[in-house]
Amino acid sequence: MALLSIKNLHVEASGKPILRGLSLEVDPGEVCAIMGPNGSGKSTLAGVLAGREGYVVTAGEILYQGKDLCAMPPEERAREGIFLGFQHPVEIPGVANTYFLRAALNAVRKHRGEEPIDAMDFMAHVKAKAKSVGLSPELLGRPVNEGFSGGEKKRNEILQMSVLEPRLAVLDETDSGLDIDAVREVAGAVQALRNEARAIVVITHHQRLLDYLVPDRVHVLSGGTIVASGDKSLAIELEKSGYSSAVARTSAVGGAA
Amino acid sequence: MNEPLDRDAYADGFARALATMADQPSWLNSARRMAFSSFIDYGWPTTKDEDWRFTDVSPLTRMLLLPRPPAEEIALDGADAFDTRLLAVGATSHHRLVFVDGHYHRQLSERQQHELGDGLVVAPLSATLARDEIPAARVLGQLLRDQTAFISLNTAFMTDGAWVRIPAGLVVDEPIVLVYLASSGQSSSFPRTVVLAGENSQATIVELHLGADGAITTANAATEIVLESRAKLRHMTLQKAAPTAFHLSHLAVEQKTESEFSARSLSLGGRLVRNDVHALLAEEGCVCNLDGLYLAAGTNVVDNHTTIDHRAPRSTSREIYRGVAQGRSRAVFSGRIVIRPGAQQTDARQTNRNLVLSDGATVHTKPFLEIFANDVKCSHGATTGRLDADALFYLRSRGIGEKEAAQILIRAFMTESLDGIEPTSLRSEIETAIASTIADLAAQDEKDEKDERHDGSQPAR
Repeated sequence: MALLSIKNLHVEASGKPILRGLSLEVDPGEVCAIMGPNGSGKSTLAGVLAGREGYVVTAGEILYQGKDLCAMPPEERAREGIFLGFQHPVEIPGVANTYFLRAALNAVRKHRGEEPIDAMDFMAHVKAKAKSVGLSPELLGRPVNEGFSGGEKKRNEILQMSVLEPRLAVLDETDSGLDIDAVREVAGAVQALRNEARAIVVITHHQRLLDYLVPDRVHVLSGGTIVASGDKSLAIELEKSGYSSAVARTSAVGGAA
Repeated sequence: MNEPLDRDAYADGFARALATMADQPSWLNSARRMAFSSFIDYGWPTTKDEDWRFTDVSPLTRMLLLPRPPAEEIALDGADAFDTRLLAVGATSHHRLVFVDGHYHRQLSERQQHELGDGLVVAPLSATLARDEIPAARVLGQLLRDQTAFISLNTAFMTDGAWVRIPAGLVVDEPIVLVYLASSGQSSSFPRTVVLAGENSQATIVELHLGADGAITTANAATEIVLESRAKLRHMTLQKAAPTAFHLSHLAVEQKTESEFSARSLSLGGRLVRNDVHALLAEEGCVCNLDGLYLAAGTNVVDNHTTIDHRAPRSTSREIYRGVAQGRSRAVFSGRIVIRPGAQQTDARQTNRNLVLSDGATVHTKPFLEIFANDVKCSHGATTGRLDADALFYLRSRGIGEKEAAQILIRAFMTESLDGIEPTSLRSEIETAIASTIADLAAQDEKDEKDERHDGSQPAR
């Protein structure tokens, strides 16, 4: 069974249709890339999956592990294993990064029927994780994302993913604002989190990220629907000839396998 | 509407109070008489007075605010009645005096010997006054004149309080902790704190004003502080009265050349809270920082009025007040900055930030700048808003429940005003105390909502 199954999804924001009949299936263990021009609905898809306010699902459905995702508040989705890597991670003055991470992890653990993690154990755990994603341990004690550089913010997202161990991670433009070296490092950190049970949906403009995080499938989103699907070679082709030609040449609609 | 002042009852009460103060110096008793007559002459403030526009004191006018007569020992009906986390703030300090309903409580006080070899004096005011010490007379009644009914009442009725004298050059590491407890039934208390910080001295003073749960107490506190040249003094007031209680306070400070004063006012509870701060930067090169934090919940009113008066050149003032209002409460901030002729190169900044958590809560904020000198910097800014929706979503998207996420953000907003509290142990004690207050507030908010829904379902009669 697919981990995530989106069928004929129509979504509006401020009364304007953004997603128009999007269908997509993501299997456990799969890394799929969603590419597309600005305004095609990529970030809307990410927001809808995480439960961001302001979107109205007017038709279609999203099933996650067979359950109706739209009926769940954002925190429940997270506890059930969905993780959104934000394109623009939010700065939260006055809340220490470690405090935030521990509160999040304990919320997820509680949902799974596990005991809260001990503060000392947690610090050791999170320090090791920070090292593995290349985030300076000094940033752990600072307020969440406050004064972080663009790269540090994105690494902090991957740190959260690594601590929370989601079943489905949706990474929204995780490569945006990063220089070439940082893209390689961040992609490497995500690659290290790949496993058989976990699905990763990578939303990106550029195929560079996919050089280091090679997707199993690539989908092209345009005008609120998937217009083309293929493997890694589709991403390379897009990089060469642009979205417009790919969109024009392909008539495939829906979640082609 | 204010009740008319019951002059006879007050005159009676005043005569009885004076009779218990026979051992006090005659200059003080004549000051008390003058204060009392100005209280009788002027009466209660009304909402027609600009300074009291948003704060209706009529519930106070229905009571008779008289001091509790001195007793051998006032029994505390269990410390449980007070917020134990707040009571723990500074509890380990060796300079700690405890007052219950305006009277010194020897057993609860840490500091038994009031003068140590280093010259630091932390003593009950009553003992000092009985000996008529000149230094206390230099401060007491000099800064707080009888401008309002409440200052007048404090001067007329003050039963006790603290006298703190920090000798020139002394650096006091441990915080000096003054605990004022309002314990019983409908009692009123009139604590007075008098501080003289000598040249080049350094110290931290914490005033804790706590009210017993469920009591309809009225605390009417006044504090006068003089900082001599280059003295550095941190002053903090932590106030948590019961939701049924009243708290009024006046803090007046006078700063001499190049002295540094920081005041922090944390108002965490009370049905009606009014805090007035008046800082006079009398001589050159002073630094004055006023930080405030106030919480208004239920139908409470919390009103902060501050004045920073720059009278001499090259002084700096920074003022940041933060407030949280929920339920159907009202929060008021009025920040006045005066820059007198001759106070060139003054640098004054004022900020007021408010977090409004419900539709029913109201915030009034009023900056009030009076600038009579050129070559000065003076700015103010005020914001009033809801919890940041993006931050809330970010927290929730990581599995943190909506209510917990809101609490985390409220706590973050509030703890920002704790920055700079030293020693850090004091800061963490306060942070713990505030965390529990926020949790209580959340519970109260839920109850308010439930009550409101209940109100709404009442059939019309």
